[in-house]
Amino acid sequence: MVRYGFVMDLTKCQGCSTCVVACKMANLTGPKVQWIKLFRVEQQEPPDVWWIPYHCMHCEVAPCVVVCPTGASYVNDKGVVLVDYSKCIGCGLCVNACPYDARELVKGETYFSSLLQYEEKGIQEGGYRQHVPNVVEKCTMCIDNPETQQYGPACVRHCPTGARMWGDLDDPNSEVAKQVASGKAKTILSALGTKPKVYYIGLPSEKVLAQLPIKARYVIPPPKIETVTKTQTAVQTTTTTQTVTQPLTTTQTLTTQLPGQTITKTESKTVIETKSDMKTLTGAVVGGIVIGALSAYALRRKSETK
Amino acid sequence: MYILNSSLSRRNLIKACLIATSITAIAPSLEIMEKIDTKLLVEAQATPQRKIGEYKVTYTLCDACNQGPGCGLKFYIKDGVATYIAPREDHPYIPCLKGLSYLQQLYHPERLLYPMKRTTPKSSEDPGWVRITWDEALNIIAEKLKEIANKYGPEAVLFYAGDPKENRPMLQRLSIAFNSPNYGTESSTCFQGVNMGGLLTVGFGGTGSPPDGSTKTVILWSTNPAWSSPYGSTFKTFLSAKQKGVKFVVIDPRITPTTKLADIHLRPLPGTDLALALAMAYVIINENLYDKEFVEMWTYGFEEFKKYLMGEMDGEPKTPEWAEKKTSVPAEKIIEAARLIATNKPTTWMGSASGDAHNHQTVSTTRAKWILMTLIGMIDVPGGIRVSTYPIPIPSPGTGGMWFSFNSRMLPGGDLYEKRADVKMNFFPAWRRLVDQIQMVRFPEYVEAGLIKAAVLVGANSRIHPQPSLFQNALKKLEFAVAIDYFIRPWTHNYVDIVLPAAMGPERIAPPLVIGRTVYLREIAVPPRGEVREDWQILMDIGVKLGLGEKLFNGNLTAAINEYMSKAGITVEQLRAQPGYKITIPAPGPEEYKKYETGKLRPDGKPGFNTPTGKVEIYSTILKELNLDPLPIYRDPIYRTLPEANGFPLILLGGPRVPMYTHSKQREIPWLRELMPRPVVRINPHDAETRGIRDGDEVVVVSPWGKINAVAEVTVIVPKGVVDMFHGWYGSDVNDITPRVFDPISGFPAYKQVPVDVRKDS
Repeated sequence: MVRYGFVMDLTKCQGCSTCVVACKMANLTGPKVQWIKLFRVEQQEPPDVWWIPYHCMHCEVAPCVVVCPTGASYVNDKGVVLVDYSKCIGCGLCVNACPYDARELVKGETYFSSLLQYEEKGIQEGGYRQHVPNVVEKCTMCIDNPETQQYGPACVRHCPTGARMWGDLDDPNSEVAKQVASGKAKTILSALGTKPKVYYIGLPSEKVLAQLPIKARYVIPPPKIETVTKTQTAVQTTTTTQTVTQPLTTTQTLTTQLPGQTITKTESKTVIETKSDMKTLTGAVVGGIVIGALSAYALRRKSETK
Repeated sequence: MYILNSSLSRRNLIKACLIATSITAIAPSLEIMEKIDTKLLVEAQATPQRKIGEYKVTYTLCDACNQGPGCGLKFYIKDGVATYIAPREDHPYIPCLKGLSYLQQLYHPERLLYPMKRTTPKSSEDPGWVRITWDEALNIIAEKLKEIANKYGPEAVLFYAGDPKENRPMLQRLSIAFNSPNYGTESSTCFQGVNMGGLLTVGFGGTGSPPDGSTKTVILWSTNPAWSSPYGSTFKTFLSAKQKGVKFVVIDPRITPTTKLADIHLRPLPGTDLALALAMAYVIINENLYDKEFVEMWTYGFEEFKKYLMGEMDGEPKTPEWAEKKTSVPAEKIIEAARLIATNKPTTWMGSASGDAHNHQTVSTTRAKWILMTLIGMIDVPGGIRVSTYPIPIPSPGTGGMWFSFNSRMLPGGDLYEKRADVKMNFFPAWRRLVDQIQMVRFPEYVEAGLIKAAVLVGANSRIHPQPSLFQNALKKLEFAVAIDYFIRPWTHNYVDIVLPAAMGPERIAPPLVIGRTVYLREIAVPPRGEVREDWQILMDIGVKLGLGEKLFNGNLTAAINEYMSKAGITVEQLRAQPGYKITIPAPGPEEYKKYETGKLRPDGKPGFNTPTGKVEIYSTILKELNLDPLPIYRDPIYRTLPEANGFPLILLGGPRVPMYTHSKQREIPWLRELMPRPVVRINPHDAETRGIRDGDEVVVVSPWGKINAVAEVTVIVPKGVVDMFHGWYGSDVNDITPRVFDPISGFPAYKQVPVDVRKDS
């Protein structure tokens, strides 16, 4: 089976953000929407700096897919974690669930009051160049572009130094598989157990990595399943989430309240309903899970350092 | 209404299980995750596909950055509109983010598409731009320029090129054809000062050589190609050299992706590089590590230099300990670096046209580096500094047109030399002797003295020099000015009469570029928008209207390009007959070295270097003749010597390169602007803490000459005591707080050693 993944050699990364812009150019993403971000992390003594290109880790055990109530988020048969915009209801559960903070609920804004010519024509191609408001977007490995097979995703094709590699992790002859087999390539926050398919060579220490501005949470919200006999209209309430940017080393209580999820089944159709009466219970459960996850993570790290 | 087609699917079953577990046990989710059979998550759902359809693929060369590497761009054109950019397969360089953002720049809604004329006097805030026809614009320009030439002489018209640089050969040709030697460029603060260091010392210029197959040590001095030229070439060369075990000595006060390659990273305080170079020379001479044979045979002034180093001239031996006090680099690190470059040979050096070009001692500092390379015998040898044996005789647009532009007429001995503004006002004698451009840093003085009355500006920015308001006022005083540009940029164009729309790189043809040994000609890759014209064409059109058609090819672009390539013996027709419009010219023989022995470095064919003494001039006879420092004598930077500096404890590196912008350009492009939306001043955590500044705080950067606003970025990239800030931000311009202090040899401003303080904006 084909299982696509990336290896990024940080010792070759020149921190130029070409991948960030290549992604925007290739996918025509909206204002401030960056499927790839370039993060900088530092060490004070001795002073040192790392530039880390960062995006969806295409986890094999993808929490975003697990929590998606509509099946919009899925892992395709090549191991690419994708979102089907036609099924996405913009509930944001996956945004919360992603421990890597690699998903974004987009508003569908445009750069200028009207579409520029390159956007108009580019969007006509469809695939992930076409954007829908109020859905969740993320790295797609440019899997919708027929040229990707030959040249790799846009970020890989345009990386000026060859720091980015992409290919089939299951093909022992691929560059990425070789790098992973060599043992040099590691994943970020591997202790979370999501089995990311994005590997890095030359990552700084865990202590330095804790500066990554990503959320410290790992949540599976508990939807409630019940069977009803009549069809209901989907009621969508706004999910207010608080972004927690503290490093993972700090244990904290999540004050976010996630709406309860009710998946209702009818004779022929499944209707999603979002209710707020589950708030209290959900809050408690979610809080418990967060604390559990964090302590498990801390324990794991402790045992690893031994 | 969101309706799912499936009933309780496999997916939902997994979910149900998960949920059950989590609710009953409130178990750590980690364990849940481990229980999931990953295969069950995979869905055979169809992956969306782009419908690519029919495309035309076109090829061009990028001009988005300042070095003019000419990276290869491949455009995908659908119905006459570019929708995708990829690297060219037939080109060695992968373009960087600036090249890719051409898509957004080409179709930018605020782009200048038609000739514009101002309708209000220059004193009013709004120029009241109105659209005019090309004919009308060209007629006004020709009439005004003729009128001024009649009144004050043609030399009263300034021809000035900013960035991109590719218009220069034609602009200079127009200038000289018009009989004005007052042709200037932004290289007055960029490449030329560093180039002069080489010209004065070894008789050829440049900023050093990249490592080749035999190089064992590389010195990277005040250069960070990772950000100044992020395209896929320079940094990649370093990476592969590093992989082969080549040693790197990197000299930069900051931590950058380039300094991360270093085996030895020396972090001198800004403006003290000369002290570092002298101490390294001291170690090399003192420990007898220098190439005695080469020094004896091929250098001039070694004994004088040695006397200076040993302290016989000023009582201060230039020891590593002395340099430690000046530079704050530990003496033992200086010794270690000096020994490495002198013993692990071949050694090469690469510098930059920024870094310490922006120094109070630009030329002396560069000369000291050339002298270091001379001492270790690394001039024109394999693995060291190389000089091309068979250069392709097509001018490099960045340095102007040379013979194509009749440049000898404005150099010493030329019929227009005496009419140069810098000659008339006796500014920077070494500059005007060596450089075929006037030194633009004194533009306000030229206007004040009535020497310049009109200007033709291509890609010009009025704010590139210290104290830019002086330049804006000077521009305002001109009787007539025309600018050629991509956008209306008020900080410059508010002071001109006409603005003409230029075609961007992918919309034009000229000039051809030489990359390696291959000559590339652009095609019109993207259909030009509005009424834009390519700059070579505009300049020829102006020339034709001025009655200079004969010298400007009667406006025929193909004829102009053919003349430009004539010495290489190729034509536009031949290039167009080749796929990719490119021809590789093989070298007639193998690369030769030590050409000073065979007379191939001098135009007269005599052995030696192209300097007055025929030797490497450690002691410069030209500088001696002009009463300037003939030896690279160290002088303290301005933050130590200027009385005003008192009370400004930090040192500002003004204008270090960033990957997303070229100078003041590209701020209009959202893809790039998102990467650095606002002016950022980088400050070390120690300095930030003592000032109560946190990352992201609004701060003011204050110098004795003014203050500007910025956002603080607290980072160890800059060492304690040093801050840096990119230039070209209108409204928060580092040049506003930079003094007019110039290197006496080149006239370069000391951008990278300004005494400042950073305070929280309250």
